[in-house]
Amino acid sequence: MSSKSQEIEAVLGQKYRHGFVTDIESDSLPPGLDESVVAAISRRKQEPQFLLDWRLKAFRHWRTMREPAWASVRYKPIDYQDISYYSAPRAPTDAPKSLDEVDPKLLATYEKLGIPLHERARLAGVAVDAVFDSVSVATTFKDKLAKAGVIFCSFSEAVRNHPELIERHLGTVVPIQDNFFAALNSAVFSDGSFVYVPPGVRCPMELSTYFRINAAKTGQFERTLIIAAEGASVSYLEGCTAPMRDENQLHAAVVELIALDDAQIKYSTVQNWYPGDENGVGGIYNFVTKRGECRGRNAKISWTQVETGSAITWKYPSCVLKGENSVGEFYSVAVANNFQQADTGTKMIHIGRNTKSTIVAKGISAGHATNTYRGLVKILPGADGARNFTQCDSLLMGSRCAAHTFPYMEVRNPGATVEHEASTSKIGEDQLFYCLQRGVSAEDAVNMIVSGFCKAVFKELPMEFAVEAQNLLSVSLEGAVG
Amino acid sequence: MSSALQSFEAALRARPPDRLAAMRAESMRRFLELGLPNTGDETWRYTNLRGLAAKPYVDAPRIAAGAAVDAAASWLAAASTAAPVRIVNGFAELGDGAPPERPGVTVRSLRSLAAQDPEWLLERIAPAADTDEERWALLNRALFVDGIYLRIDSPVEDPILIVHLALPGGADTAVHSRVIIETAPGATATVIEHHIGSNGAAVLANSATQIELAADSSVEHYRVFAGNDTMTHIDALTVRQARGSRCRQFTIALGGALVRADLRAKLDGPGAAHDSHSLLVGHGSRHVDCVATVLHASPQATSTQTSRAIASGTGRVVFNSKVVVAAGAAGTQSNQSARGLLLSPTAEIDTRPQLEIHADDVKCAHGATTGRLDPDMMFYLLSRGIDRAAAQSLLIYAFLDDVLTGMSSPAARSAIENALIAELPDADLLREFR
Repeated sequence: MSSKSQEIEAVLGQKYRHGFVTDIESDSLPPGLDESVVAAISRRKQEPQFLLDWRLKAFRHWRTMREPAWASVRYKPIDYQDISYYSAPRAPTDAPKSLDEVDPKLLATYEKLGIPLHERARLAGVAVDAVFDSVSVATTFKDKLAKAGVIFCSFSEAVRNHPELIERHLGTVVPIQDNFFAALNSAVFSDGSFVYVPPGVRCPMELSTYFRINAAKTGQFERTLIIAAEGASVSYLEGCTAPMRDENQLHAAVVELIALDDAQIKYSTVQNWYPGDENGVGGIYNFVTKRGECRGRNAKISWTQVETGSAITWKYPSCVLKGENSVGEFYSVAVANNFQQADTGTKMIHIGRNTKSTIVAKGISAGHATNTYRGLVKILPGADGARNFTQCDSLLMGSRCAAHTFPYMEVRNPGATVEHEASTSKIGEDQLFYCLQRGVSAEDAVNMIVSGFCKAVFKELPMEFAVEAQNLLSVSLEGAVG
Repeated sequence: MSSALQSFEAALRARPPDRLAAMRAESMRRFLELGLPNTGDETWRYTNLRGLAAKPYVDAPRIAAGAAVDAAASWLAAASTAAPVRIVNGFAELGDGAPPERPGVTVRSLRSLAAQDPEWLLERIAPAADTDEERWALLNRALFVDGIYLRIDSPVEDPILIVHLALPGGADTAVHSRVIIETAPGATATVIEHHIGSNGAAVLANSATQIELAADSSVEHYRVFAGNDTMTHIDALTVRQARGSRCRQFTIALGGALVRADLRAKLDGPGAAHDSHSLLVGHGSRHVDCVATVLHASPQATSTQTSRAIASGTGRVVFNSKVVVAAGAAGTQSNQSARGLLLSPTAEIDTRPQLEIHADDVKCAHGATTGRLDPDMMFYLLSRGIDRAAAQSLLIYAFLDDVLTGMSSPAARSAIENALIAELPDADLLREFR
């Protein structure tokens, strides 16, 4: 057993592969946050007045709010005045028009990450809007998308070119008063992605953005807004890696999805940010607000997430099911190792008639980690015939980790059916034995069992991500049984 | 400070100090510091006490045994062959002198124990932890005037019935009663606590019961809330179980305007087993909130939590259950099953089956559902010529059966069944099916 546990230590002790810092001159604001900082961000991005007003309103509201304390995560108090709220990589020209104009060092960064932009784009047929720190530096496949009428660009570009869409939709799903971190994001968000799919259009390719936190002591405040008009459909992929740091980095993103009649949005995430070292030093604080609204009839929003990174995850991708027959889905695998803490889950708010939601959440805890599922299913009186099915399972590896399940079911319509089931256990000795006596190594056996445990979620991932997700899991957990 | 808080403080000040005064003062100080819980507190998020906080409460008067007391008889009286032990408006009524002793059972009044041997009693009154959930228990520690100490020394067949009776004594009276149950190793008993209020009693009943189970002893405990429509029941039950002990607990909410029933069980020895069952009925405009927490502090302990909730009219039923497995509690097995039946578009059922696990060698599961009566089952009965109302009653009765079948005292079961059926349409027909 001891040799096995040494192997395990070796696997678990693998250094974060994507931990490196690219030396690029950053154009940053000094640390601190007041109205002048908010105004400065807005000015640098040459934003229209309505956006500045909106930011200031959010900031004023944020100052009246208190940081939430209900999540089952522990961390040292964050000094919000010690963070720089803006950092833009400096490029030779103001806006690169093609990949050739992009800072070569930046391209090298992607090479190291294993994401050659053009190659990946050509081979996989994926348009990539790469976000490096806060400003978009490369956008590809624009033409093809433009032909279909799809708008896919950085948030700042959308503010410049489509201010009417931004003004109409920004903050309608996650209002500035929503929560502490959403308010902070609304005040200081730097950039992000914007997608608009016009009526009846099926987006011709998967859309993907790679976020990467780079400059030290820089909070990242991404803002994503996706609108699928009547009958439109889009699949959006988001993946993250970040360089190794000793100081905790704050990330408070907001994602808003809007699906009108018969529209479909599929939002997939593989999150692999720096989780801190084996002693719990460093790592990203990931406080994200993600919410989608099915506004129209028969609309569908599906969240799929694989969360393996971050020191602290505080994330509840939610669906507000307003439209009749609308559907919300949430598929999640959350892995917490060493001293990681994850408090994640979803909210399904059923407002319209015959709305349906499915929640499948798989939590894996190892080392000293804490993994919490927290989910709300709320059926309002108007939601006749609403249905929800929730399944959340936890897998424990090691005696010092913790797994919690906190579901909330609030039902106010007798025509609704809400079902919840959950289980918590460790990897069965019998399953391990079965594999071992057939000559499968312990590590492979655990890998197989974990893959099986997560299969219901992985099958929801787009192909490109399914592979990456499997790899991530094996790196994080392979053989983590002892 | 709200009217209620002021009145509680005034009530303590107005009483002549007894020999528990120091503990009472300390509990009151802490209670006032924390205040009444509000919906911002995690375990109180579904129960709003604003109306209650605005009332000035006065201590319920002592009412001597007599016609009024005798008239308000417990419908559970048949469950026990012995006379019930009564706590009237918070005062234990043990008759003249010592109550009739039964072999293996010791009954004492807490008031007399406090006068005779306060140190001994203080040791037994559970130290209230300063958590959000236990504020009412703190208030009870400060204000209980009397109650029952019950000791079981050997296996006792006949159920022991304790009746908490609230009688009218003017507007907005408050009653704080306490029951302490202890067992000797190997002892077994069934204890039934019946909370009732006679008509016209607008009472806040804040009761607390503690059960201490010695090794290998076993207790089946019932608490039945059946006050009238103006009563507020708030009850805190704490159970501590030693090695190999077994507790079967039944919480039945059938009456009262507001019922809040807390259960905190700690499995403090290897092999302890705890099964809690709840039947929560929210007819009319009743609000029922049940919070059950089981802490597995020792290895190889098992627990189950079963709840069946019904809400009709504008009723609201809340069921919070939580299983906590402490680090080192290897071999834990626990299972939670919570089902809710919603019968009206204005009723609400909120369920939170929670797991908090700090050990890896565990098997924990929970299942929860909320919905209406199964349309297929309805159709089956209708197609056999049973009318809709009767079919519905039958299915409701079947729904409640999961908890009823667990009751090992036939007399208690039949009395509780009768009370449940009486609230359903076609009660007579249902009786034929039993």
